[in-house]
Formats: sequence, C-alpha cells, structure tokens
Amino acid sequence: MRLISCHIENFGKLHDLTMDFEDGCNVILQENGWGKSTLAAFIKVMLYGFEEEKSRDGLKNERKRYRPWQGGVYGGRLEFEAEGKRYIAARTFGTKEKEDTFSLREKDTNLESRAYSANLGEELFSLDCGSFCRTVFVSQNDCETFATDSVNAKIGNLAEDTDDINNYENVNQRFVNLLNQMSPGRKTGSLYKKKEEIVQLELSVRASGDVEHAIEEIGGRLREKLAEQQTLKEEQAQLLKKQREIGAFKDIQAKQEKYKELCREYGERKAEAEEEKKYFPGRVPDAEELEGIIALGTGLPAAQESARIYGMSEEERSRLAQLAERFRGKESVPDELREWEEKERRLGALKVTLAESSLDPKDAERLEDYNKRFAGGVPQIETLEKVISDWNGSAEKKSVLGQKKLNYETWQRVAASGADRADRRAGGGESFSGGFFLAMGTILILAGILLATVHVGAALPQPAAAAALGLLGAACLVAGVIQRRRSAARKGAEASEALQANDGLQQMQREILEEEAFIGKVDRDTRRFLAEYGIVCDRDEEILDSLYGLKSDIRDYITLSQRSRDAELAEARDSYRKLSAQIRDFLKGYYPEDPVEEAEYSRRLAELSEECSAYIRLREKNENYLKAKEALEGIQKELLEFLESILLPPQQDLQAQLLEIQRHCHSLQVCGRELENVEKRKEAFEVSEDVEKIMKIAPAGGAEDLQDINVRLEEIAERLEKILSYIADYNRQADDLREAADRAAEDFDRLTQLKEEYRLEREKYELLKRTRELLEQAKLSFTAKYTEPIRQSLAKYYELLTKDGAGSLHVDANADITVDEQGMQREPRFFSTGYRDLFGVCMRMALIDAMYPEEKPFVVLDDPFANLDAGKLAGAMEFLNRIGGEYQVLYFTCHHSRAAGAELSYAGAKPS
Amino acid sequence: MKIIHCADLHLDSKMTSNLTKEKARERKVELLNTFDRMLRYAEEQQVEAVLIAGDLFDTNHVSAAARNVVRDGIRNHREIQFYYLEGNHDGDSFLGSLEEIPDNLKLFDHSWRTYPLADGRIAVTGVELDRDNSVSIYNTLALNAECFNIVMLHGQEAEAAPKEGAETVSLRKLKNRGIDYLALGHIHTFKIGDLDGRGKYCYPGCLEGRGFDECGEHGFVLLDIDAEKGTMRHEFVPIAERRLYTLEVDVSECMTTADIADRIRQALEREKISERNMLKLVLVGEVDVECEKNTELLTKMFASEFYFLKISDETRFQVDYKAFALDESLKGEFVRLVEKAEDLSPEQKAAVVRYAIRALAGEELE
Repeated sequence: MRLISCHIENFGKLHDLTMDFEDGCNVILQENGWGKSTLAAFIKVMLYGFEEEKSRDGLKNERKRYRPWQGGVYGGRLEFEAEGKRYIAARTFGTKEKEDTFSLREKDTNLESRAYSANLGEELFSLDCGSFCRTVFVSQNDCETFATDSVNAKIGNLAEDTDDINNYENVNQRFVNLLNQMSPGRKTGSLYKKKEEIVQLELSVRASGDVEHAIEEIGGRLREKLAEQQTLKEEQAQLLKKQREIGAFKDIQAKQEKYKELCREYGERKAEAEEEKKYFPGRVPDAEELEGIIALGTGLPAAQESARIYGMSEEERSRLAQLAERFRGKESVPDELREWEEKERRLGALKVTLAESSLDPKDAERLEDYNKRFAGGVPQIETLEKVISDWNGSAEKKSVLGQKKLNYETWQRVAASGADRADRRAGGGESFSGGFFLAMGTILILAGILLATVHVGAALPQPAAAAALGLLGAACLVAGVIQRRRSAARKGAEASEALQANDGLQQMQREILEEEAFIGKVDRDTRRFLAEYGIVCDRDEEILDSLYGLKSDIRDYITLSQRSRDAELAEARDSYRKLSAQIRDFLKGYYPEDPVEEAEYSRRLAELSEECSAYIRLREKNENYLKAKEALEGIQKELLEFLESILLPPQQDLQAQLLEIQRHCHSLQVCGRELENVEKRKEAFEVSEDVEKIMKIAPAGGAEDLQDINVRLEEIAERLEKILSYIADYNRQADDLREAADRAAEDFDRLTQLKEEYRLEREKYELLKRTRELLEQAKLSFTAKYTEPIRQSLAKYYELLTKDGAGSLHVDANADITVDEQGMQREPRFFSTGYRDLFGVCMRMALIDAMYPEEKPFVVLDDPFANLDAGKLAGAMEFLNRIGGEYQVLYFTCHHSRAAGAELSYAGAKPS
Repeated sequence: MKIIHCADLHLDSKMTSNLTKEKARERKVELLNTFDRMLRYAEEQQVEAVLIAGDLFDTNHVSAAARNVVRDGIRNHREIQFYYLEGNHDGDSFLGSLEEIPDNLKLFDHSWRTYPLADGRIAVTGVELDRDNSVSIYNTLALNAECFNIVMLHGQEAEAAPKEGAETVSLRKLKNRGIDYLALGHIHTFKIGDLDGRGKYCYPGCLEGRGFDECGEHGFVLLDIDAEKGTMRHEFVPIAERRLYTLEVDVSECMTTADIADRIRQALEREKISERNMLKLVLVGEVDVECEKNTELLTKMFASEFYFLKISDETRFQVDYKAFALDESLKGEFVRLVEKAEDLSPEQKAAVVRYAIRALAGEELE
C-alpha cells in the first residue's frame, strides 16, 4: 500500500497544494512554518477523519485547528494504491462531522468505489486511529509507542475479530471499573456498603433481643392481669349467677305456686266434670241433638191442649154416631139440602100463585070489554104517552098562536103605513094591544075557572080545556104586561125599529105558518089514534081526558088479562104437585119412619139442615181430635225414645225433664271447657318450664347472702376496672415494643437478605476478579508469542540507529521495552528524550514489521530525529535508507542535517 | 357434627418477599377475605366448631383490620365454637386487645385443657407448646376413651423424641393414647396420616400460599363426626383465592432469549395455569456460555399473563473446552487457562468464561 499523491484544497495554512509521492523515502524538507506537520495531519485526517472533535482546546480539536486560514473548501484528495489498485479518496469538511463528505473512486475507471468506507484508515491499516498514531504515523515530538489492542490484534492477525484481543483494554478497563464499583475495600464499592449495612443491621438485630425480653416481661405481666381478670370475671359470673338465683327464686316460687294452683284447679275442674257426668248414666247427648229434642218437647203442651180441646163428650159421641147413621153414604148432604130448601121455597110461591089466580064476575065482564076494545091490539103505554105529550105541545102552541097572528097583523100594518104614522099607531097600538092582551087574559082565565067549575059540578072531566083556557088567559096577561113594558122601553127607539119591522114580519109569518101546520097535524093524528080505539071527541077539550082514560084502561086490561090465563095456572098446579112429592120423598129418605106432611116441609127441612150442620161440626171436631192425639203420641214417643237412648227414666213432666237434661249438659260442657282450659294452661306451663326442676328448687340463700354478694360484686367491678386500665397500659407498651420488635424482625429479614446478597455479590466479585486475572494472563500469554519477532526487529533497528548492540534491550509480552542500565531493567522514561525517541521509532518499526509481514504500508515520520545528537544522525539516515527500501516513507524535516546522507527522494510540492 | 380444622392462617403476613407493595397489600386483604369465606362456608355447612391449630396471625403486632375481621367473625357466628390454640407466630396482641373474650372462643394454655362438645361425646383437648412443656405434655395427657377425642397441637411433626425445648410434636408418643383426630398446625401443606389403629393426625396446611415454598392447593379440613358411633369422615376443602405454581422449564441448548421464550411458551401451554394465579418459572438445564439470555426481558414478556410472575435462572453454563483448544486468540488462550485453573469449580469456571466472553463482546456482566 502506498500513497501516490495528495491535493490540498484548503487545510490549515495549506492551500491548493498538490504533492506527488514516490516509492521509498520521500523527504519533505521545508523550513519551519511551511506546514509540514499540517501536511502530515492532512494525510492522517484523510485516512481517519478528525480527532478530539469535542475538545474546546483549539490545538487539540483538529477540526478547528486545521480550519482553512483563508477560507474556501476545507479538504482535499488523496491518491493511493492498495492491493494492486489505485484509488482517489476525497474529503471535504464542514463545521460538524455530519457536514463532512467522503468519496472514493478507482483511479483507472474514475468510478465510485465501495472497496473502502469513510473509515478508510482502519480499513487500510487494520488499526484504529490511536494505534495508527502509535505505529505508522509518527507525529512530531511523539515517537514513544506501545502495543495497543489494535496493534496486538493486527499482530495476532485478529484485527477482524472485534470481540477479542482488540477489545482487551476496554474489557480490562470494564473489569477494573466494575471491581472498583463492587470493591469491598473501597468506600464507594457496593460490597463495602453492603458490609457496612450488614454491620449496622447486626447491631440493630442484636439490640432487638432486649426488646424481645421486654416484650416477654410485659407479656408476662399482661398475662397475669388477663388471668386475674379472667378469674375475677369467673367469680363475678358465679356471683351474678347466685345473685340471679336468689333474685330469681321469687320467680321460681311464683312459678311453683302457679303450678300448684294449676294442679289444684285442674283437680277441681276434673271432679266437677266427673260429678256432672254422673247425671248421665249412659251417653251424653250432644248439643244439637238436645236442642232438637227440646224443640220437640216445646210442642208437647200445644199438642196436649189440642187433644183436650178436640176431646168429645159421651153425648157428642152418641149424637155423632146417630147423625153418622143418618148421613151415612151421603157425602153431599149440605149442597143437596140447600137445593131442597130452594125447592120448598118454590113450592110456597106456587101455592100463592095458585091462590091468587081466580076472577070475580065484574072483572070478567070488564075483561070482556077490554078484549073487544083491544081486539086490534093493545097500544103500547109509551106510544100513548107520546100522543099525550104531542097533544099538550100542540095545545100550548095553539094558545099563543092567536097572539102571534095579532102581532103579525099589527106589525104588518105598521110596516105598510110608514114612519110618520108609526108614532101614532104605535102609541095607540101599543096601548091597544097591551090593553087587549090584559083584557083577553083576564077573560080567558075566568073562562077556564068557569069551565073547571062547570066540569066538577057536572062530574064531567073537562080539566084539560079549563087548564088550556087558564093557560091561555095567563099568557094573554103576560103578553099584555110585556107589551106595556115594551111600549115604555121602546118610546125613543121605535122610529129606528120600524125600519127593521119588515124583516121581523116575514120571520113571524113563517113561524105562524109552521105552528099552524104542527097544530093541524097533531089534531089529526090524535083524533085518528083515539078513533082506532073507538073514541070520538067533538071538542078539543075532551081529547086530553080521552087520552088519559085510555091509558088507565090499558093498564086494567093488562092486569085482568094476566089473571085470566088458565093454562098457565094448570101448569103451575102440576109443578106444585110434583115438587111437593119430591120434597116428601127427599125427607122420607132421612126420616123413613116418620111421614112428613106438606105443611111440615119447611120445618123438617130446617131440622134436617140443623142436624146436617151438627153432623159436620161433630165430625170435624172428631177428626181434629184424632189428629191432635196422634201428634201428641208422636212427640211423647220420640221423647221417650231419646230418654231411653241416654238411659234416663222418663219423668212425669217430660218438658221439665228435658230442660233439666239441658241444664246438666250445659254444666257438663262448661266443666269440660274449664277443665280443658286449665289442662292446656297446665300443659303449657309444663312445656315452657322444667316443672320437675322448678318444684325441686329449694330457697337459695337469703337476704344476707345477697348483701354479701353485692358487696363482693362491687369490689370485683372496681378491681376489674383497674385491671382494664393496667391491661390497656400494658397493651400500649406491648404495642410499642411489638412495633420495635417488628422493625427488628424486618431488620433481621433485611440482614438475612443482605447477607445473601453480599455472599452472592462477593462470589461474583471474586469471580470477576479472577476472570480479569485470567484474562490478563491470557492476553500476556497470547501476545508473548509475538514478543520475540518484535524484539528481533527492535534490536535490528536499534543497532542500525545506534550502532550499539541491542543486548541490553528487553521486550515484554506487552511490547514494553526495558533496558539494562546500572544492573536493572529500566523503562524508557528513565532515559533522555533522544533515546526515548529512538526507542520509540525502533519499536514502531518493529511493530510495523510484525503487523505487516506482507503488504507494507507507508510510514509517516514527522521529524522524529530532531532530538538526536549529531553522532546518531548518520545512523538515523541509514535507518531511513533501510526502511525506505522496504516501505514508502514520508519523512518531514526542516533541517538539511537531518536529511543529508540519506538516499532520499524529495517529494515535489506544488504550491498554488 | 361438622367441624373445621384449619391452621397457619398467618393473617397480617407481609407478603412482600415476592410482590410489590401494592400487590402485597392486596394479598394481605385477600388473606383476610379467605378467612371470612371459610366462616361463611362454615355457616352454610352448619359447622358447629372451628379448630384453629396455631399461627392464626403472622406477627405479634396484629393490625386493626386483621383483629377486627377475626373478632367480628367470631362474634357474628355465635352458633360456632372456636377453639384457638396459639402457635409460635401468635402473640398476646390479639387476645390482649379484646375487652372481653367471646363466649364461643375457647382458648388453651400451657397445660392440657379439655372442652366437651356434643353433650360430652366429643372432647377437644389441647395445649400450647413451649420450651418448658414440650417434653412433659406426653406424660400428662389423659383422655376419656369413651369420647371422640380431638387433640390440638402446634409444632413440627417429629417421629423421634423431641429435643428439649424444641416445638416439635412426637407422633410416636401420642400413639395409643385414645386420640381419634390429632389436629396439628405448623406445616403449611395438607398432610394426613394414621396415628395409630384408632386415630389420624392431620396438618391442614395454610389457607393461602404466601410464597413459592407454599405451592399447590391450600384450604382446610372438614370433619363430619358421628359422635354416637365414634366415626369420622374427613374432606380437604380448597379455599385459597390464588394458587402458587413453580414450573421448571428446561432451556438446554437454547442460545437466545427468544429460544427460551419459546420453551416457556410450550411449557405454559402444557400446564394451562390460570391467569389469576402466581407463577415462578425456574429455568433449568445447561446452556452454552455464549448463550444470550435475558431474564428481565422474559419476565416482561410473560408477566401480563399472571397475577404475579417470577423467573428464576438456575441454568448451568456449559463450556465446550475442545472448541477453544486450537483457537489462536485471546479467548482461546483465556479458555485454555481457565480450564487449567485448579482453584475454580466447574461452575465457577463456566461463570468465569461467561464473564470474559460477555465482557469481550461488550455485554453486561450478570
């Protein structure tokens, strides 16, 4: 591996510097301040990047230190050859690592290459930056070296194995740190601290024995008090029990008495019940049965009374027997008898009829006349009365008809003579007409009276004509009076009435004509009617009498006609005979031995009726008696059966006996209930109480004992109160002690745990310690294998540089040099700077020889011989010549003296 | 008559040996809950007596919560008789804090004390062992052979005669003494066996496993005694809230953490351990010294699958010395040196080799 060239854009003070390198030794001989060390640093930074980036020291912080003085792009290119290929690595640097750029291209193809990364140095040299600086790269004033892990790994060909020798120092340091952290001897060590804690806990636990002792003691006292408390409580309980017993004996006594009373009452009730039971020799009737029997017995007096009432005397029995004989087989006698009594009444009526049926000769003659007269039929009385009424109506009309005619004529004249003559004619007329009517009325009444008088005297019936004249006269008088009054009333109004007279005349004319027609018709009809029965009247006055005479004749004719009907009488006689015979036969049926005369019919029938009534009454009474007797006997039978069923002999008064039974039953029930009640109470008492025990309890102590007990109980209560306070006090103390003991127990647990932890950690500590020792031994043993080749190389370079023998030089397994001096192997630090540089340069080359047996790297030497004296410079130049034959060397120096004599090629620098 | 026999409840146990403070606190509460569940079970099953054969509490300093849970549990179950025999962990703290001993809490002391049960047909006898009485109790035990005799003790089972002052129970000396059931406490795992021709001895174990030395099922023993016939049936009733498991995983020949994780996964698939339980994975086998294994990473990978996970690395390193015999390197030189070192055991040699190799590789030094 060799460097071809480099180009610095800007790096520290260097700017646009291109430098080509040759094989062998390249000397960069420049005066101080040119930038040799900067160029060397540029090569290192191009390979490894910056070191000490976090340092604030401007000299140590390479990024700051080599920041371009003049600005511009910070970086450059490095062309190198490795494993037969040429590459160009280019880097630019920012203010921070992340701003840095890196690129790698193959020189031949100018294509980007992934053969190496930004970690270029480590990959090329298999060395970390530190190891690089201790071997291949010798910076100014830093020749000293030693074998780093990387160096050892490289020497042991283990550079690729990151978990082995190359990590030894880290591991060793970790072990050192860990052992220090765990160290039982250091105050900061965890084992030391645990030990301290264990000691403290042991002291604490040891002290807890006192607490346990105190707890024991307090516990003993507490137990004493608890025991005393228990004893006192037991005594208290016993005393209280006795106190209760004494107090409770009264209750017991009461119970004893109560039980005795119950027993006594029970005995009494039982005796009473048994006494009552004795009344009943047999069974005891139940209440329902008894009630039924008593209800039956209640009907006994009524039945007896009924029997007594309906009881019959001998006479009645004899009479009933006699009548029964008479009426045997004749169940319907009463109805039949009423029929025969009716028949007897009809017989009497027939007898009267027959007695009244014969006519005397006068009646027979008059009937003969009537038969002739009414041969054409007998007029109806109603018809006759109608004719009479019409005639009377006609006579009344006829009586006023003349006046009406006069009035008509008067009014006819008035109407014809006009209004001025009206006053005159009216006054005269009125007075005339009024006077006329009064005179006419008087005349007619007188004529009537006269006619009536004449008629009575002549014994002729002319009352109708007289009445008619009287009536007519009266009517005229009335009309005269009315006329007069009218004339007075109409004095002022006649003039106007005259005007209406004409209409009134016509009305009057019609009425007169109608009445004249009616009168004529009645007259004709009446005369015709009378003529039919042979009556002709010449005068009107006769007609009314004729009509009334006819009416009387008709009635007489009817009476005579009825009396004269013979056929009917014969029938009545026949009926009479038959009826009489029937009644006789009927009565003979009842009285065969005694024939009855017709005259006795009524009496005998009455007798028969009376006998029939007596028979019915007696028969009913007998029937009722039989019924009452039967009922009475039924009741008596049932009562006797009941008495027999309960084995009691009947007494005279059954009803009284039943009541007595009922009373006894009730008493027995009452006794039974009372007995049951007391028995239940007794049983309940026996169930709820231990009777045997109660009855055995004897009086427990007396009042004096009770007093003593109370005194003692008070003492005990006081003592218990004190004991409670003691117990509370001991408990508090015990609680405190227990808490302390608990803490001690926790300490003990912690101590036990801690001891175990200490033991395990100590075991681990020892094993770690042993591991470190063994690892160190292994490392030494491992590196010792390469010590000899290194020592030989070292001797070779040492002799070359010093021209002295290297026999006094020793190299240990750590690649540390010692030199025999004054009888001792001394480390280089005891030598001068020049020797120290010399030892360092030689060792570096020895290590490089060991590390790179095949492809040799380039070596950077930044004026390593500055501290050598002149005598050793020749050797140094020879050294350079020798290593230049094997390695590409970049040798930086500022002085010709340290370059003269060497077979050097000067690297060309092309400053911009 | 049903009777529960429990022991070694260790209420108020700190539980901090494996767990974080938060989880330790949670487990403490769970321990109290388990005690409470046992009492509810007793109530449901109409149990008439509960035998507590020592170590009810873990420490003499009982917390208020633990004290109240136990006190109220006893007071609220007056129908149940509690026979509490103190163990080596119990102190005076609990009983001393009670203003009054409940009627249904029966205690023992350092000499034999007998309580009748079932109208005297069952007798519960017990004594609290200490240095003074641990030898003499065998001479003073007198039981009524007509009763069904339950004897309560708290101590380490020892077939040989106990040493002076040691809290051990000599089963040999308790043989043929008329014991029907020897209710023991101290050993945290259920164990039952024949004492003699008549009786059995039994450690019910603790109610909850607290550490990985208490793996497996935990609970109490339910006795069903026919006092008339003098016969008994027993049943172990698991009641623990969580179960602890220790699972060994052979990771031989694994070279990386991922390889080991695969082996763990396979083992977990086989075992099917519920996520509510606590698991200790023990890595065993021989692995190469250059094996990369990170137990911290493994713990993180599997921790979420369980209430608690702990990985213990008990693998041994295997060094293939032959492979380094011709290795011309620092490592080769080192291994050859270690192989020859006479002051180191093979395990130490492996550890030393592993340290060096890991150091050279720039890895942490475990």
